[in-house]
Amino acid sequence: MHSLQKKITALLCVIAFSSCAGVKPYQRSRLNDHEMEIEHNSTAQFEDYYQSIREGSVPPGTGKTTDGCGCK
Amino acid sequence: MKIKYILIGLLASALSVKAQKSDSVFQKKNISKTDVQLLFSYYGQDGNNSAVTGGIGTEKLNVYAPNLSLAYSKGKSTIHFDGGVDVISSASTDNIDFVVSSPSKVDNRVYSHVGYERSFPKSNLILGAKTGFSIESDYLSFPVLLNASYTTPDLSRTFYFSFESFFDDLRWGRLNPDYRRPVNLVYPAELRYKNWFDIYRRYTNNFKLAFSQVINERMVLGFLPSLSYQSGLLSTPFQRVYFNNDSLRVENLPEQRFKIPVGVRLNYFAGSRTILKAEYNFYCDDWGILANAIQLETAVKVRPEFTLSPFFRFYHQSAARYFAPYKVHALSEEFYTSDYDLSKFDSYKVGIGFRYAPFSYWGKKFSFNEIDLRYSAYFQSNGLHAQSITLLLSTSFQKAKSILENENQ
Repeated sequence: MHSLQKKITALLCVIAFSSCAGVKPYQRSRLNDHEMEIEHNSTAQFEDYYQSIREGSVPPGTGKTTDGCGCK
Repeated sequence: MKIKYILIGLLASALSVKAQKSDSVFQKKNISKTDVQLLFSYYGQDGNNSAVTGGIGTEKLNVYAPNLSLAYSKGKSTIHFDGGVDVISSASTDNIDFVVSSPSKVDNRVYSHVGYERSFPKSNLILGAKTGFSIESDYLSFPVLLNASYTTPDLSRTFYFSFESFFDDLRWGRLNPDYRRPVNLVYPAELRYKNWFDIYRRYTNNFKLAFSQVINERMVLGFLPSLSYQSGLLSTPFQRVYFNNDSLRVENLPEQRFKIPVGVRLNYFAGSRTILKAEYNFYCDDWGILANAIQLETAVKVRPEFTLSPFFRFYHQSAARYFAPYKVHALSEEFYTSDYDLSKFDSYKVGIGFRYAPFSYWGKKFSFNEIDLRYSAYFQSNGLHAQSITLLLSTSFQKAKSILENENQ
């Protein structure tokens, strides 16, 4: 399991830090689409919020990991 | 003769228009813009492992959460405001005192945040700060947030950093008409013969990073590592623990906790109308919880302004070393809880989102941006099940003025 995680991490690092093809401004129409944003939108963030209360972990990158007790 | 005059007239008008264009240009400039978002959320759950009653009993809970968010932009500055109320109806917190339909059955959370952001276009930098408050009958929280983001000139990479601090006070009484001030911690009714904790504050510091990389004209990769440190009263004072010798105490957890969540997200625009989104989240903390989650979402553009997004999430976590079910803990243990949020379980979430985004103008100043509806059904392997519905309405108001500018200036 751990070796699989290491391989996935290494693969993602190679993808991220390898020289990516330059994207020209006129080629950005798909990248600029709302659905291509990495950040979760406002409606999905509500799910991140209740999951952060209902589960032992907190989702990464969410706007909120406390600021309220979260009733049981 | 008439044709001659018409030709001269047309030539004169054409030359005059051209002469005017060469000297000046007629521009429409945005002076200010206000984005308004209305968010209505509902969350409902049921289960039979309430921590208030020691890991047994109803977890029935309903939360109605309207929220208003405003962003006013002028020049390089943006002012953010958001506020809302969570109306929480909980059967399990009603069992703090075992009096059915007592005031503990319904609680409200009122919160508001104000933020300021400034962009520096020459250096592709955005800096921001935010603060506010959140208040419940037994909780008061003050957050402070600082953030910065940098995008490379070719727009291929974005680096985001934020630091958040939360200063929380868990004493009850502020919203009670008889007190209007913090009085004490809320313990279960039969355990109020002594003070179980001599602290009532909780501190949280979150350090978040986000890095996004454009792989090619169809693919974006995001990497989101975070670090969180909490200290103070991390136990919930009204949660019971029943021991294996039938004795009863208030939950007791360590006063420190380190959390490390890491996320990887990959978005791929396949074909001309489908976006595939894959997300993997890893989490570990020093209480012994190790968690993995994977989420897959497919956004299909049925029409350019209409998108359908079905999604699925699978999550697994191991138990915190301080967790044990009802009447399993031994009195010799230093820390103990029967909160099933800290138990070992799997969870599944399925749902669908509908987004209609015409970005159409009504008049010169008002634009209707989008309406977004999202439904999710959530199931835990311990029997807890929940569902949520969220509706977003987004609009903008723009003030613009036409300016006749000289090109030579």
